[in-house]
Amino acid sequence: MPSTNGIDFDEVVKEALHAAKKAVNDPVAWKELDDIVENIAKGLKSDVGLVAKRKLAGSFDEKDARMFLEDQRMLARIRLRSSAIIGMAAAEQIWNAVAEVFREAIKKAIGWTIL
Amino acid sequence: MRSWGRSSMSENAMTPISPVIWVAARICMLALCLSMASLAGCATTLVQPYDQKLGDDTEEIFKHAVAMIDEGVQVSPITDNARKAIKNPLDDPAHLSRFEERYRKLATRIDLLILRAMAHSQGVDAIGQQLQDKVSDLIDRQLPSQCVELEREFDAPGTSLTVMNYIDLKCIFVRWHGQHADTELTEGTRILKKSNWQHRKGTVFNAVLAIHRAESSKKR
Repeated sequence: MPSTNGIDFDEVVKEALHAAKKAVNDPVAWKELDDIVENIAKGLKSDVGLVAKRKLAGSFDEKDARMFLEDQRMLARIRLRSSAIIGMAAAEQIWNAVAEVFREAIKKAIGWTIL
Repeated sequence: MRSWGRSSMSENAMTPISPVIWVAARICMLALCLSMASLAGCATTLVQPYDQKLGDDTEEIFKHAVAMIDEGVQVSPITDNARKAIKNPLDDPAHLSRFEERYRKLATRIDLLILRAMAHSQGVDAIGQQLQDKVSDLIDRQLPSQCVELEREFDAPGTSLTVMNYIDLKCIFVRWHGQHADTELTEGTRILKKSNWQHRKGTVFNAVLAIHRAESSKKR
């Protein structure tokens, strides 16, 4: 791609990709997302085990199990929503990192702030 | 486990699992669409901005909920037989009447959190709001809320995912109160068992942890 006013957009694309990669590789964000998704699966599995264990111990009957599972249902909603928030926050950071590189490059090349 | 497999409770136990996995898969698809959509547009604010006070107040409400639960664990009977043996349930320290004030305070505190989250939910871009509405819609269709009235009161298009998380937390507290007041569930005593309180602790811990992780992810 030819340069515009001294701005080489091949280089801009490389820089943008580097910025995106840096945001994508943010280990804390992905660890949190990973943990929540893993917790959803593990949590549901252990819920059933816990109900069975408490039934055997005599501290849980069918009504208790129903109450417990109602809570787990609401908890699953919160966990799913939270994983979506983390994913969207990460996407927002990725986009902002890419847009920032392009914003500067376009401004230098044509003098307008259009992003 | 086998006997549970044949009982009607088994169906209840398993119902949340498949919708949850289905919704998780759909959310992943949404994330992919989002990546493509973001290349075509210039969305910059997809989620409600981070609010430190909301996080601090969430910790406070967690402390209050745990204090109530710890008291419940301490004073409640372990088995059905022990509960049946209580001669005057009204005078028992585990009776609903001893917890009414705590439930009421918890409800007021969570209302304040909802209000704060709502007041700070401005500034999300149109594409961000559309995505949030889609996520809410997916979750509502696959895992309907246990609090239909509460859902109706707050769940309008444009309600952020953060606000919806607090509404669901309120739903959990409202249902806890309802369960404690339910004479069928408590076998005419309005007294919960120790195990009921114990599982509540796990629920509130995991709910607040998920909310915290989601909100903290916005800090970077």
